[in-house]
Amino acid sequence: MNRDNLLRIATFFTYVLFQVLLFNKMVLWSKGFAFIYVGYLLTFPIELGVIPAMLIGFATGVSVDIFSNTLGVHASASVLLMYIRPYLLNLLTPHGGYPLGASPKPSVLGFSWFSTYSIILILIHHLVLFFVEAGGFHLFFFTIQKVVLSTLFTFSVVILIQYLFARKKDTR
Amino acid sequence: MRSFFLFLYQYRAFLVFILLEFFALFLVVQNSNYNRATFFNSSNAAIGSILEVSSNVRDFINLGGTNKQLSEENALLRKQLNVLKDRLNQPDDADTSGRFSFVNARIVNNNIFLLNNTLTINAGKENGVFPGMGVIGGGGIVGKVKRAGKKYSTIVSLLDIDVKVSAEIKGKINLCTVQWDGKSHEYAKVLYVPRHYQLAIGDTVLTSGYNAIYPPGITIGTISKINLPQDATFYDAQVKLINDFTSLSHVEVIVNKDLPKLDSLTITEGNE
Repeated sequence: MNRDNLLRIATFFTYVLFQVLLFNKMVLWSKGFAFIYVGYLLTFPIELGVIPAMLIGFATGVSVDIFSNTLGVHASASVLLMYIRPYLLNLLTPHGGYPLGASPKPSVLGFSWFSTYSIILILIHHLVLFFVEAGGFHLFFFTIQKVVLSTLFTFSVVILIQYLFARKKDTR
Repeated sequence: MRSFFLFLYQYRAFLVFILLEFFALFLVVQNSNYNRATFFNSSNAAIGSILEVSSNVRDFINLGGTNKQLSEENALLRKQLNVLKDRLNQPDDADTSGRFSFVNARIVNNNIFLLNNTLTINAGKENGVFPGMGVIGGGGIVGKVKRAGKKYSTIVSLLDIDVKVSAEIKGKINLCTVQWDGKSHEYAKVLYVPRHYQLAIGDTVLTSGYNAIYPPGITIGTISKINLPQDATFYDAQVKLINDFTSLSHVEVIVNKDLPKLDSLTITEGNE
């Protein structure tokens, strides 16, 4: 177990605890949620295999689910997020390719690249999340409002966390 | 055979994806089923104790509001006590006294912004709380026990789009249904009020006696909006809930001593 992995596990607990104890209570106009744990999933190294990535996504989602009694809802959205992440990374490859061993973070690849990358994935994650929660399309417009507002809220908080807690010499 | 394994290997990522996705959706379906108990939920002791610590912090901050709420409820109860004292002197045709007893509990976790909201309370089987019992608090109804752990229980909130509560309109209608529409935690819908009744804004909505979960006459809220389209058979009415689910902190679980008898009655009837 190297230092990076230990740090990732510590980060996992920090993210999940902050999510369930703080951010689950912070809801804008009863429609906007900040699912900050998505930020944890977004910033795994680019070379991470898709199968371990999906398992990590599932574990994170289930941990959040247990606390809010929504078993399976966050898990399904997070697994999908981790499955399509490599495809999107492929599509968004910058000119000259990714630096070796890099993580998709604003400190490494820049603000605008990270915004495109994270907004797309957060939007897909939230679409699945809220429609699975609603159990169908019968509350369509209400759910869409939730998705859009929550995507903006989650994105803002994820960006903020990235800049607040970026390590000084973080090139990876 | 070899090519089959090669095929599996080639698409292993996709297959694992399908597997995990199906497992997650299976959990969603299984969790929404009322009767099936799962281990991983907030009535689990470890999860419950983490939520309790966090609610201790929040409760400390909200102490002022809670005190105000409790004193208001005290005043209401004292008023009702006086009414009951008068009624005690009159004979009653059905002996309902002593049919219900109450277990006090504190809310350690409360969701209000989801579609299937739940609460977690710090009383479980040790305190006599079992699945199916009704929960009231803050002057109105709160929900129904879904799962009971040893020390913690999970409550299906009134704020759950799948929950229907048997209700009546004070002095007017004996039976209608209250159901949440998933939009605001302050309002719910009143269903199945026939159009020949004179419904008015401000009418009180109470629980009816036609269920074994809530005692009759517990307040749900007051009618806040009425809409009667020309071609509708029933009113489209909205009730403002008496409970403010955002600031609720203490609840009482209702123990109906007749519940086993009532349940066995229903079962025998169903078999015949």
